[in-house]
Amino acid sequence: MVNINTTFEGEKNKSDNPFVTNNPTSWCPGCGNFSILDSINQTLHELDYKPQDVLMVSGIGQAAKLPHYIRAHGLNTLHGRAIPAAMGAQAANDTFKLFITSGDGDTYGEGGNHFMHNIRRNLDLVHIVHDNQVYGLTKGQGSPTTAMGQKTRLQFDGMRHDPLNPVALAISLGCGFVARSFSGDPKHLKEMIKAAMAYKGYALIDVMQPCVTFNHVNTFKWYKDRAFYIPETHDPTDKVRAFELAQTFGDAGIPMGILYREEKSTFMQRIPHIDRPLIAYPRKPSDIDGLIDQMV
Amino acid sequence: MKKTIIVAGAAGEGINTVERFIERILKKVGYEIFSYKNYMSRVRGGYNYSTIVISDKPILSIEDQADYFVALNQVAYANARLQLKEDGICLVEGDPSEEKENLIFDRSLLKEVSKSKNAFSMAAVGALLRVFGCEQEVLNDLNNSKWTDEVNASNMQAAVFGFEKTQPLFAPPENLKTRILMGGNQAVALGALSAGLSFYSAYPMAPSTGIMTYLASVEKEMHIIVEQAEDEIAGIMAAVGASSNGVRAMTGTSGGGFALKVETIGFAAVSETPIVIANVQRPGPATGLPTRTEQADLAFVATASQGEFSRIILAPLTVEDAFYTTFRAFNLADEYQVPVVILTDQLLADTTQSIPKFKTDDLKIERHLNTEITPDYKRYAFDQISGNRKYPGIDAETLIMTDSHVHDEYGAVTEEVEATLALKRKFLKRIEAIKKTLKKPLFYGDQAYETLFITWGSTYGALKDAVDELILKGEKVALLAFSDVFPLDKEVMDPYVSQAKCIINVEGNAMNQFGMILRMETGVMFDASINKYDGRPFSSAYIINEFEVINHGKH
Repeated sequence: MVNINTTFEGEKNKSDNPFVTNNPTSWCPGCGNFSILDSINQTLHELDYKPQDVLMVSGIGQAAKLPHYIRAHGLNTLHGRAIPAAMGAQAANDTFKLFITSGDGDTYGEGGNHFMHNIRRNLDLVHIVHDNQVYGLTKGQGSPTTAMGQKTRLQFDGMRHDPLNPVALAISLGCGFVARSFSGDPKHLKEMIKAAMAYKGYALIDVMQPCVTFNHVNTFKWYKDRAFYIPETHDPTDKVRAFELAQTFGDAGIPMGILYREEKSTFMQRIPHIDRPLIAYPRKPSDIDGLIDQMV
Repeated sequence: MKKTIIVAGAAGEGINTVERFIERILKKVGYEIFSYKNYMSRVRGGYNYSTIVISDKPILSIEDQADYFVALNQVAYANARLQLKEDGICLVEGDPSEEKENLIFDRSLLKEVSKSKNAFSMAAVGALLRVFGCEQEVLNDLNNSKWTDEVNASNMQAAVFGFEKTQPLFAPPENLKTRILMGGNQAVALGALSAGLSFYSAYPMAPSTGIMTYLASVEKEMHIIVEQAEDEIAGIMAAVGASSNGVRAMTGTSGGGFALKVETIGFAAVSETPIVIANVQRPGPATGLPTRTEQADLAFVATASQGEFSRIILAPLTVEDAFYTTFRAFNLADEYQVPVVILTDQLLADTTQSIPKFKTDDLKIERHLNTEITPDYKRYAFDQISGNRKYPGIDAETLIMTDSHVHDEYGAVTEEVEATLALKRKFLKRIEAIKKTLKKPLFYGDQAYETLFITWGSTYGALKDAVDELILKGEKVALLAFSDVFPLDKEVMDPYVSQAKCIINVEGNAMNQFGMILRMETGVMFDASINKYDGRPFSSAYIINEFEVINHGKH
């Protein structure tokens, strides 16, 4: 097992990064969200994006507040609903680099149906799931990814449900880009974000992230001690092997990197009659006159 | 002249085909048509029927009893006498020695002329077309491009057989040939398209699905995207997402689906994202009567979603009005950046009517956008009641935050008291501005009225026909029909209250929901009410009968 790299590199020219804001956040000191935000900011800047090129969509939760802390277009929607909102946003104007940032509850719980069907739909976006295996904003209940038996502020005797395995689920549904990273390894996280941005289609990055306030099991050390980089010998286009690798979690080690990759046509590519952003079509009332004339 | 045909049988027996042939051809030769589908929530079997009213003058409602009844099976035949007028005629396949008031199509003779499995229904079409004065050559239009030439040819033989069996009794009017045949759902869809609809996402739900089906059928021609969402919530969220990026977007559903969309209504309102939602009502609660009609969602839609905010509810009065009202909905949504609900019902959705061609020359798309580079642009300026909207990408500079919380003028989350109050006060001012903008109710009837009927939405049709008949009987009656039902201006009833000796509220529910809203907003109380809540539409005869009961009670 290769030890992962958890050193934080200070960004060289942070003051030059147009994505960085001074907005105060409502995150707890030491929260993994800070490093995820930094990684997104740095990646976008390094790839020469402008804030006007980027649309950050989110649902509700601590992670979902991220669009308020980055200088870009933002769409902060309802709990669980980031994905369908992003669908409409992309249908209307697919020229933005589209991100969804949301938590494990937002994505896999309240938004589970959208998650599943969006994999079929294959929007072209990077979905960063801040997966801290606990509900933060509602103060410490179990989430879909909390381990069976783990005690929480609501499940006093421990979780009674099996945890959901998001990467295995995504692979089984044919998601074209499935990766896992760790907020404590910003170098790796940035690499994953870059690879996801380069991928044409729906790219899921499940980011392990300690919740310093409510999750005293899955701590920074817990993740660091278990995470390992997926060996280069892994063929991410091998779906069966990827699914097998996705089963590995917890004390058996947690594989980090691109688990699965498959080239697929995207949502917009499957609508060939739209040859420019939908917003760019000129429209006027008399456009329907031809339809009406057919009815006489 | 006003005659009614009922075509009855089981689902899957071709009722719709017979109805379409009759109404298409009779419209083409110049008649006014008004038809309505009465069907069960099932794919095959059951007892369904279509009612087609044919006249030389515009008609806005169906009759419950028919002059001609086409019985496609024995169950229908057994119902025929209940659904026929006293002198009505039943067209049925069978043994010619049966009752003489029926027009019997000899089964063995039919078999000789035509191999079509629809021989009887096609013969009935031919027979009825001749009754209404059609020339034999119109039978050439009785083909369907989806069928083989062989099927079309044998259908034609059956139609000729039927045609030769009857005599012309009526002559088509001369002047109405440029009219179009239009359904309520289709009129909503076309209104949206004329308003520049770009994106429609929805989950199929009777009786609203026809809107999506029509839009999907013209998706390529109109360069729009129609997306079948995974659930009702995704349907509306995607539409709001699309609208937040600047295109005109819409979703549609019925009451149960609307219930699922409710949280997003509030999101659209607080994020000030224009959105148009069609709720094609069917009787509830829960699954209710999926393919029947009722006007019982108004109170729910008027208050749906937590918190207080501004919204608009429009209830088209007729098929024609559904087009213009839907067009208007998009301009209103953009002007005030609010959710606008188009509240129709199964009656309007499943009505087909001959109407004048829609005139698009006078329509103007008004987006109320700010396309200038504006230093320190505030997406959510607290003093901005209408207009001044920017969306991401509208210019090369402005960054836009669309947010679901209480927020400051730029869209940043805040819990400050001042911002909380300012946002609420903005909504209150917006409601007042909307009240002054919305359309006044339509007045129709005797200027010297003593009785004033109040109604809203599709019930207007049967009520107008009833008012016409009551005036002919010498009654001093008039009606006031609201298409713009919420919010109501508190002075909207002022011109009418002093003259009306009796106000009768007429609506398709049991609890007088519009009557309650009218009283709440204007203080005007109705004296009596006429309600229908059996899942079936009003007819003018029903209203007249109820009116007479009310009048009798007063004397």
